[in-house]
Amino acid sequence: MHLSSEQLDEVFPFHIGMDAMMQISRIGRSMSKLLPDCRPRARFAEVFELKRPDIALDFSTLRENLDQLYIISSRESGVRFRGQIIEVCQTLFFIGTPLLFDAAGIKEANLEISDFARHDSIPELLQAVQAQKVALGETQELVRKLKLKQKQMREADAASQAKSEFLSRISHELRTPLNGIIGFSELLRMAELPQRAASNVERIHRAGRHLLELINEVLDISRVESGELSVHIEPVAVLDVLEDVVSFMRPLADECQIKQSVTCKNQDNPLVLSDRHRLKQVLLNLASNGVKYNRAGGDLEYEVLVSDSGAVRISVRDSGAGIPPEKLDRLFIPFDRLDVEREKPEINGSGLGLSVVQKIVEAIKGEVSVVSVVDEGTTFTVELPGAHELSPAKVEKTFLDPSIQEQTRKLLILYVEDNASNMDLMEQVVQLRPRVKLLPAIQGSQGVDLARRHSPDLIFLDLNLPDLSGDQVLTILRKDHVTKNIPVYMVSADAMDSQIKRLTDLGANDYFTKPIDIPKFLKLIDEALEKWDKQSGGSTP
Amino acid sequence: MYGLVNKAVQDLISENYGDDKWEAVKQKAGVDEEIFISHDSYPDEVTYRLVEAASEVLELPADNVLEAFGKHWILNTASKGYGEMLDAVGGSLGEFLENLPDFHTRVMVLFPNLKPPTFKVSDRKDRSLRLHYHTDRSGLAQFVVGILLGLAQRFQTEATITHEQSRSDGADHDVFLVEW
Repeated sequence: MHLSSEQLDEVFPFHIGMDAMMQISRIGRSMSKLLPDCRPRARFAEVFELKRPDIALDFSTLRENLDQLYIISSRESGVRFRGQIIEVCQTLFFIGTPLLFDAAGIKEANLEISDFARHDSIPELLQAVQAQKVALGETQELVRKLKLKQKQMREADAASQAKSEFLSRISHELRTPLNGIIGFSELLRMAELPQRAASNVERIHRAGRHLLELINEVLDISRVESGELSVHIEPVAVLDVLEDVVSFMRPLADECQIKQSVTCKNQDNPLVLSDRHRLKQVLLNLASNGVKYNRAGGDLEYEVLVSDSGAVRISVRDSGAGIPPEKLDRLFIPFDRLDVEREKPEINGSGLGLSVVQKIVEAIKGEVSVVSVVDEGTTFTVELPGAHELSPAKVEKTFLDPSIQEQTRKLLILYVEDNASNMDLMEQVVQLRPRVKLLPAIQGSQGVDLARRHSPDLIFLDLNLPDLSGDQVLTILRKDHVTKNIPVYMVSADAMDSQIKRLTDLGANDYFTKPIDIPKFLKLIDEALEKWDKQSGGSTP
Repeated sequence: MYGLVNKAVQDLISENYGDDKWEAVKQKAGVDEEIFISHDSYPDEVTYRLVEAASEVLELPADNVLEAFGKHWILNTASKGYGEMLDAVGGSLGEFLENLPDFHTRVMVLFPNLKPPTFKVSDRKDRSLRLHYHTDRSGLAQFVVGILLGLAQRFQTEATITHEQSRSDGADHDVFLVEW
């Protein structure tokens, strides 16, 4: 079988034929394109150098070494070829392909892909090399992007940390003056005042409370976003929480002539797995909206339903103007005040309440949804996992009469506080309980000294003191055998959950955030008095 | 479709309209890839969704997006990593298109998961030819027009493309008359 010249060119475009005198007799089409100086009748050895095998470059030696892999090199251009020698009709043929190592080499050699035989895989190999280069570049790009993301995440974490610290500081700064505003106005409300003055005091008090709510909402959002919202999941009796909510909402509801009602559909008092404090916060927020956006004389219905799956749905339904469907999606967007566009622009609010609700409900593993019908009302539903197999924790409720009978022995309270205004407020509050004596200390070290010498019944300890910090004072008190069992209540405007947890871990019995909730404070004193009375059998020491 | 194609959509939008627009397109298309790997295979659906989203975000007809994207593919994306290979396919528009069928076959050898279209050349004349485009994919003819215009620009050649036969009109394949 013989190949025609055309077929030979097509199948082996890089070939060289040479006669017995080693003169070039034929040149393949691509070979002559690549080596234009290579002409017929030129001597092979003048055009090419034999690189491998290491043998003499003469006709007979080549004939004896047909079973070898050959590498030849153009003396003119240096291009190397790999191939083999075959003998056809007294003529030796080198058939091979140029050795190229990247795709750019094809063009540099003045070649195109069509110059290679179709069976020749050199172009694909070069393309594969190119693909590897591209892949490497993309890998480097991915690594660069990953590093950038890591950097951005570190910066975001740092920014978030800075934001939390800022909020903690600003919270402290805002709560300290608020403590004075709310506390003293609270005292004034208890005093006998002319009607006009009493009305003004009431306004001051409400404005202060409102400002406090706003600060708390901003802090709640911040806590959730920074992952600092601590939740303690336990079985919680829903009706007990609702009882608190209804009671808390009563003054506001009465003022707006709104009737509150609770219905529990299919269980006496279902249990949910939740955080009691957070659940109450959520329901209070929804109930507060239910009053604010209700009509005068409307209804506010709380409904509890246990679903077949065991989940518990708590609904808060108002009979207000309702919300158009196209606006429902915006309800949970922070700072989006739908009411400004609605008919109640006069209602105060940060636009944060419902986003706080949503985030807290997510944190306690529940879901919140809303259904609204214009002119009929809006229903918010919180769905939480049930806790049927567990019995509710019995919570003993003690409502103490604030005008508890006087005794002669005085309960001694040590208050360590450097702010004169706060100390003044506390002194006035304590005067409401004649059986209580306040022992003031304006420095940490002084507080420790007084605690050791007088063994007070209760200690209220500010966190930010001029000499020792509140933490240090607490640590000293807890280590001292004289003071280690005295209940210590921390008092600070820094209300971040992490702070509260840290101090309770250090041994604080509880934490009062400023402004001090005076009724809560008085209740604590009354409880302490009652406990003390029981221990001493009602007798005076 | 290989990542290289989707990369062209990304490059086109990022370079001409900014990264924000690209993020908007990705979001609209429901694509969350940070980077397309050239030699990874992606569902065709991803490419179609990207083109559709780009059309909406950029407020351009989908055919215009496809054409721009084909041109960009040749002039930028493919040229960035594969410029030398494109150089090796041919030194002029005519040579390139003549070698295109073989080139696609060689590409297929290298990327086994690739389902490249098949091109055939007929009626080769000095300054024109007919390019026959066979594919299982639909709706990408305008992308081919963009590629042809991009190639003409690459070879600094004035060219006109006439879409003589179209699958959308019931034909079994598309035919483009390329004149330069």
